[in-house]
Amino acid sequence: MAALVLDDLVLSASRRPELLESEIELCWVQSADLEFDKHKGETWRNGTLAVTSHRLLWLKPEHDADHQTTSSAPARDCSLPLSSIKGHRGVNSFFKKTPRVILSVWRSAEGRPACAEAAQAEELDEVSVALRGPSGSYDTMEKNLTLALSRQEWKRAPLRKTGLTVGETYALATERQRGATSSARVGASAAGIGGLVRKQREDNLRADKSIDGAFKDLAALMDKAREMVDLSAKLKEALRENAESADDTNDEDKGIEKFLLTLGITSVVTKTTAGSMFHQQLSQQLSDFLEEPLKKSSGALALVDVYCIFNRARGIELVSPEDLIEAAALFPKIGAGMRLRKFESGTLAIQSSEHSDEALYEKLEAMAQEGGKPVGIGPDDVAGGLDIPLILAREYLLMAEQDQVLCRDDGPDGLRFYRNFFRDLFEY
Amino acid sequence: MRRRGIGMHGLKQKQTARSHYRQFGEQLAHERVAMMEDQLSKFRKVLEDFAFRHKEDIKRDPIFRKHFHEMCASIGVDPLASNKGMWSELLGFGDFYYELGVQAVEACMAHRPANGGLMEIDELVAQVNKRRGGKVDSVSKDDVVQSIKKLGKLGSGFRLLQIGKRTIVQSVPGELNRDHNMVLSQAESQGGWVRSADIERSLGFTQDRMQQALQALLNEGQAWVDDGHEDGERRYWFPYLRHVK
Repeated sequence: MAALVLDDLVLSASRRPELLESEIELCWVQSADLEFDKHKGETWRNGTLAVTSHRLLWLKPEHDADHQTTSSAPARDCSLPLSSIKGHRGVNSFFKKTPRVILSVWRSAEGRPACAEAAQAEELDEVSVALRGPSGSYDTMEKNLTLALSRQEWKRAPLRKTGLTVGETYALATERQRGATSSARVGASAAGIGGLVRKQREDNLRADKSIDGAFKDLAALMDKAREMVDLSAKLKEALRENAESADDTNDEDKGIEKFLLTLGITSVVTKTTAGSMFHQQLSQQLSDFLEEPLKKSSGALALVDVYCIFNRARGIELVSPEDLIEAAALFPKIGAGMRLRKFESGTLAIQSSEHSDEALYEKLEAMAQEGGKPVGIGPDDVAGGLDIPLILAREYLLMAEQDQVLCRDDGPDGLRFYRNFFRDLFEY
Repeated sequence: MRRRGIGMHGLKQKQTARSHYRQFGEQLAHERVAMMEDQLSKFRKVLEDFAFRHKEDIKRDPIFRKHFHEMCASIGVDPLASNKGMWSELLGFGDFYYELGVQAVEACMAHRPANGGLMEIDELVAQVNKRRGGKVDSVSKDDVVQSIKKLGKLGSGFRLLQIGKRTIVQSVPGELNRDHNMVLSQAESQGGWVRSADIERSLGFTQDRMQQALQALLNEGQAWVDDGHEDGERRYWFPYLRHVK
């Protein structure tokens, strides 16, 4: 029998796993080995493991140097769909030092994990996860794996995207409440105009009832959560479409709506899920999240604004200002394309790396020359040339002066800056 | 095959029938929208109630938390709104003010296109309360002031300014403020100078916003004051711009 081949796992620019639609992380544990016992004891060592609502994810250690494989197949970032897991058992006894979770996995003939329906009954394989990390790792993983397997989130259809008309979305939403029982009923009662009216009223009543039922208590809501999400989304969308045709748009939110479009981080990094990796994971998520908002605000965002939009996107799990600063300070370490900048005035902002000092000085020097002849530049030129705010432009000029790229000429026209050609002399 | 519906008479008949259908369709659509609006407001009410009562339970289960957040996002319920009293019992006021901070910054961001990031504190308090919804206690001016101070760690960009007797919240730090650029290009188009009236008329700035921008430009040494004009109106000159012309 060929070895089990796990699915690939794609990572984002900041090395966070790319998640499926509506997939969310439940926990992260460090120092986890994957052991393919049946196949010559092949082992992938010392990776990072995540349990999500849909999959198990395994990330190989970042520095391959301190990682040895015991076999020819090199370790790679990989994933295992939970739908392919037939069952799991834990080995966590006092006598065995390393606790393990042993998964039995349905597989196809080619060795890919498969869901039970697709695989033949005899095609089962085994993978062990050895947890060599801190003592709580086993419990964390076991608990969350059990939760994810019981919820079976992967079985639920993803939310329908836009593109439907008011009637269709609403019908769809109520369709689901009605269930399969009466959907086949297209008799005389549903025909004609009277039928249409009746159907609409029935649909409405049904949606009403399902709201009542779902919000009876917390347990009921958890049970019906998915349906309610669908219904809420569709109600909102249907009404928005209607409002658009009536040209009744809300002016007030224009300032923030460009950010709201990016709203919604599906899988939120929290202290509970990420454990000791919290700040690093948060930093990665933050940098992925900020890419779009930064583009929309020409490369710089005040940290206060970041605090607001990031927390809004996270929803209920607030990140404190301290954690936010710590995460932003880790940007260079995780190789993110942005950094935290502190201005002389005390303002903190996140800037995209295109605005790094070197890149900036190069642009300023180029601006201070016109056809090979030196020209004086002021904050207004820089603001116009780089499309940045005036005070920021002045700040940059002063920085460039400090670093001896430019030198000042305080004349009757105000403060102008020229290229510092003394630097050329010293360099040769 | 039917032979009715042909000729002038048939056409007319068809036309009236069509307009009847359309009227009926519109009526149906109206009714549906009204129903959906009812449901939406009902949904909002129960959701607010849940967000408020079961916050900790919701936080504990990541899968449910996501569903809950999706509901809040599409219905327009603020999942962060909670009461001060609740927090003080649990963990002290820390988180309450952090939450309120998110709401305050959001309200400021929403009004930036209109006011350039300057807002009177009373106005902000009103906006924040509007956003928090009906389920929770409304917050006081002191609460909002506290929350702004709590965000001080995030840099000096978000702060309170005292202008005369009024307290103004400034949410755009100078480094990221483009108002100055706008004033400058206005001056450029007029030949190197502007009056307050020009800014008010062409750029639609409020008094506060205009004062802030002009004062910053004076501080920067970009603008010079000229009170010597015969009409008595102060002009702000931008010497370098004039030189260019």
